[in-house]
Amino acid sequence: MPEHKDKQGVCFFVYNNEELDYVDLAMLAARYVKEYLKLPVCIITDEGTHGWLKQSQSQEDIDKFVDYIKITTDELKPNIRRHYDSPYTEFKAQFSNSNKHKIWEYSPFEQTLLLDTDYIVKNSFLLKSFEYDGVAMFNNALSIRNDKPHQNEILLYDQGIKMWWSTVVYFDRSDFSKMFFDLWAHIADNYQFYQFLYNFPGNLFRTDYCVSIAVHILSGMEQSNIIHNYDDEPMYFVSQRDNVIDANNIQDWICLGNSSTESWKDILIKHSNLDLHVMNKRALLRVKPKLVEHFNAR
Amino acid sequence: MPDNIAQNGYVIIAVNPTEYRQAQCCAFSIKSKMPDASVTLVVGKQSKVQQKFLEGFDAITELPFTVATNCRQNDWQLYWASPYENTIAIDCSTLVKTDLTSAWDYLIDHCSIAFPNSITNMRKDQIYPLYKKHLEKDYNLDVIYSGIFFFKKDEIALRHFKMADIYFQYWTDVCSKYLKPEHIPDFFDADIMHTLVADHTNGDVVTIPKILSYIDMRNSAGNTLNKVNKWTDKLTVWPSNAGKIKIQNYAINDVLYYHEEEFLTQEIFNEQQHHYNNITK
Repeated sequence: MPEHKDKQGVCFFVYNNEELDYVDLAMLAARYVKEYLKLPVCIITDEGTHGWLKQSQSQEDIDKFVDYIKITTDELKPNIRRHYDSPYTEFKAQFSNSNKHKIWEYSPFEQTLLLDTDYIVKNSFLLKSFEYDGVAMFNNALSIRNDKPHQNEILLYDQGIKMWWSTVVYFDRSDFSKMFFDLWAHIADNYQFYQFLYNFPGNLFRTDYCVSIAVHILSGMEQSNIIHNYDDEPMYFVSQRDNVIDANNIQDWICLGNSSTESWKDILIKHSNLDLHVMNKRALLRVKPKLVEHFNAR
Repeated sequence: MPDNIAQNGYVIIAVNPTEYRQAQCCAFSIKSKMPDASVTLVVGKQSKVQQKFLEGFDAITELPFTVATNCRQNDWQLYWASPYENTIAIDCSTLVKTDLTSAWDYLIDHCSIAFPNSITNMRKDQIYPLYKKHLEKDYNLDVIYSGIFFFKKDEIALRHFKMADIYFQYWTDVCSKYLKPEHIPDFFDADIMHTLVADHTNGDVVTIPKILSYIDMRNSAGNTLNKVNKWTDKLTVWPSNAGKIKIQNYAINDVLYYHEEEFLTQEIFNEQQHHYNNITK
């Protein structure tokens, strides 16, 4: 168990690949955390990505937005993910998430909020997490068009169990939380077996599926409220086919919400004051300079 | 009929050997959860029921009037067939995987006749079958479900059963009178018929949210079956020791109305029987 200098804090896993600069994403996400949650930030990364952090970001920014850096040596399993950047661009990239359950070991905090680097905090809602005992995650999501996500992101498959999102994972240091992460590790280690048992699709290793199964098992294979779900509040997301095209200030983002049935149709959306899971990471990286400008101009 | 029959109990109608077996398994499940419960098998002709089907029941009784081959079309006779003052009637293709004792207390105190007005899938999410949407939208009916229901032997409940007498025996005529042709079911549908009777008896039937609500498997899978007709062809069932059942990895700890006879495999039947024997003997 690490020593906990700060009681509460936010962690990000940051592993770069050749297509996406997760360092840049993490620095933006950390900037928003500092703005709205005012909590210490820990980046969990590997040697290579750490080198890129020092090379690509100013020391002033690192000192300002990152309080802890944890270097890991885990072997990250090959996990190729297909990404979209609007409906018209598609690319594949390594998705390094096989050690996410080790946050229990890596987090320097007693109460940890683990966020994905594409989750942008735009209000203080997540501070609610620290009132919870045990573990909290979202199991409800809405697109910026207020549409439900694809069916296999509501249930693992059409008659399967409910999906929980591992985008935001809050946990304390209770025995229950330890059990949750142990179970997550077990499911990750036996992923193919659980894929067979729970019948979820695809070849991509998804931690969302691992946590969903862990919640299901810990709930005695029933629906239960053993894991907090932020009182059914949805996690808003920009899908990979949506776009972020401009920012009026650090809060007001101008997005294009793509129709799931008619891909040539977008609607223009101004999105403010709500946290956003920006799955279209390239869009986020494109708008980042403007956001940083807005931060610096204040 | 034994003289010492209880005041409160369960009745299950069954009119053929497949249904006797289902009813017996239902009785096993009831007594595994509530060993002191009294359960009566209601049949067309008692002499036709093999002795092996009687284990698990406290009594067997006959339907007093003409017997329809669709067992649920005989629901209207239950008022006269039930040996109990307070009765919970259960469809034979049901397993009771929860203790209903507190529901009994509430129902006896508050209702003459009560039906559930909500059903769930195996995740315990409330579900809305398509026919319910039609009945609510086009006819302003408050839909009730009849996989399990409660009644007392009193005047209020009697009104329901007397009207059901006519409605159930002449169900096609009744449906033709009140429903558009496209909404008339192909076969006798107990939920629709009890809904019509309840609507036409001016609010005698009580519905209480969540009380008596059950898992309805046919309607659970209805939206996703596509070309598959039966949920048992699509969804996975895992029986295990102590009578436990999981469907799609969900532990079933409620009243399970499974509908399809294919569900009740010999393995599941044996496990329910074995668990019943462990609990009661």
